[in-house]
Amino acid sequence: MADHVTHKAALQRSLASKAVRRQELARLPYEQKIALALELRTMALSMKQAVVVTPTRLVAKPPVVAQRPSKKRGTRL
Amino acid sequence: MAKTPVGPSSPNLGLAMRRLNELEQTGLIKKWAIGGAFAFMHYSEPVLSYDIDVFTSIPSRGILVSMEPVYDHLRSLGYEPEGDAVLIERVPIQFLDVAPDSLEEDAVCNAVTIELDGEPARVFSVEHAVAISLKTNRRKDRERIGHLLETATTPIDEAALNSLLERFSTPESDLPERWLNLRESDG
Repeated sequence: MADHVTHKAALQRSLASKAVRRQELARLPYEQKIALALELRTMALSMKQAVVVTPTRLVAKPPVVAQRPSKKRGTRL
Repeated sequence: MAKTPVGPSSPNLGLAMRRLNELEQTGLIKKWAIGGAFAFMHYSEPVLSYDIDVFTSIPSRGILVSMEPVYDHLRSLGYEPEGDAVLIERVPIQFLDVAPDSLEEDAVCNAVTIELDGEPARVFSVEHAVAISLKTNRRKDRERIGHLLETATTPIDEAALNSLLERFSTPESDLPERWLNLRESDG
């Protein structure tokens, strides 16, 4: 129970400090906020480029040859 | 028009704004203003966005609006398109043509004049930014409004916003109701 209270208090402190930080960012001059957003963009684009997509190679399976029932010639009733 | 060499490796916001003002002076675009996520950032915290939306009216002779004259002019200055945007002094700018008598045109006409690195610029009012986001009403638009409500440095003029929402509401997009729903879900 004591642990739960401690964790809750820590979480509340963390959220409060995050809210304060967001308010500080919001109060920056517009030029600085734009510069930060453009930096975020550059980071996001470089992360996108870092993800190397390996194309899945489809291995061609050998053609399936239908097994037809052999026709025996000359079999007449 | 004097050609300044395309700038260094970091974005040059002031010079990018000057290029936009030059485009307006030469008549290639009409009055312009910053909208979208970067307009929200004027009033709240910075967020990730891939380009600066510049709302303007592109003069056209026929029915079709062509961006070619604008792009050609910018290309002659060394600025190349990148996706939907043009990198002007390493600042990604996306031009968006506004329809006559639209909410977006009203936003451009009533935009707030500011200075960015010493160069005049215009940015949507907070009420217009919110109204347009309610109109487009994508998830990211609603999130932007949420961020604004949490970190706004400028209070929203509720009377002005409600007046805008009523003026530009249509049967397909009931803007006052969307605003009400969003405020209720925001708590």
